[in-house]
Amino acid sequence: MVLLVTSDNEQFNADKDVVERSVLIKNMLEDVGESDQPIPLPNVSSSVLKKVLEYCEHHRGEPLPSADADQSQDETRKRTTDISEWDQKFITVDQEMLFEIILAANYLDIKSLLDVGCKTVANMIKGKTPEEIRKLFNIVNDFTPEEEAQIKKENEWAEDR
Amino acid sequence: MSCLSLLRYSSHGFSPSLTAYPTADGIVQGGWVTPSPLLTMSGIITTPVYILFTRADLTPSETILSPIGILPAELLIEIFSHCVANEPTTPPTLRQVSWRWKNLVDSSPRLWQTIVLDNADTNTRFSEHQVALWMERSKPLKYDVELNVDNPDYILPLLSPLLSSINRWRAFRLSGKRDEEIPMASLELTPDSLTHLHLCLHDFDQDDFDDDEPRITFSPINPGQCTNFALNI
Repeated sequence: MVLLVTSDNEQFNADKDVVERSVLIKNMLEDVGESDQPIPLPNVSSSVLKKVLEYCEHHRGEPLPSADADQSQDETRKRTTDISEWDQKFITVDQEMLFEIILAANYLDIKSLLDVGCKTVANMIKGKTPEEIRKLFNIVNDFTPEEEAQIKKENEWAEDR
Repeated sequence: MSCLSLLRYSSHGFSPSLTAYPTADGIVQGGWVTPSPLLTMSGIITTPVYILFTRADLTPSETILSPIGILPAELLIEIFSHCVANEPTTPPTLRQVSWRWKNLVDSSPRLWQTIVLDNADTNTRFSEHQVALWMERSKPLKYDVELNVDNPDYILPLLSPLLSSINRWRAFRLSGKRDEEIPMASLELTPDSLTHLHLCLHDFDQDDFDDDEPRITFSPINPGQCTNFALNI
């Protein structure tokens, strides 16, 4: 068992093969060797780590992606935006939690969870207008009316067939 | 002068049906090819500027107002790349959302790496201007060419504007009835070395092909000779 300590000082015990879904923790364990020392995770809160461990537990034993399997600049568009049924259900959370999970997956280096989070957000954006995207994520439109008109004009020019 | 020939493949062999010539400024003209004037991009295309934001760049109000504001630039770009996988024409929509998103999209060549060529009259179809914009914005990276046509007469007109930068093709993909992709890196094609391109069209409904056999090939007409290529699709 491995002891993890969150940013809000909560302690979590988890099986080694579960926490080793995180490349960060796996490397830490390899560096430290056999030890009872708790692993501090100052960038992850207890509510988020609980979700992350739920994900790792479900995907326990699945093969980890190799380090060079998905180099972003070399990969072509053939990346799928499909998400498995379990993962979809798992990631059905409020936006705050969704983005915290994405941050944690990136920090902990759990590629498959990062993909699930990013695909989920991408699917939320799909087919929406800029205004609908702003509304969805509560983003402030910080363009001046002139700037907005100019960008719109540039896009219309590009779309002109 | 480079020459492009469109050859049709049938049970009787190849027959030429189109020849087109690139002009000095790289534009392919002649035959069925619609003249494609190089676009003046001033005001739209700027030299890519690499801007990376960190969480420290965010004002507290932005983070409070919008939960997505907690994501650093690299994660937003990662999300945008999934958006592009969904819909390659998404970048212009994303850059209209806010200044931050605009700066990120404009400074991320990887979001502009897929050019979809099709003859369908839909919103997903790239305009000529968009093709030029994607070619420019994807620099210095290579780009993917995705061809989805149901009428072979469109193939050469659609591909022609891209042949002057064939050295930047990362992959050539055929989609539609069947999906297939070939990487282009190993071919080491350059606009100068490519003097003849023969498009060989197979009718897969009629011709006898093994299902496992790769159907797209991009190969020299003669082994060891690298100016005369056949694109078999």
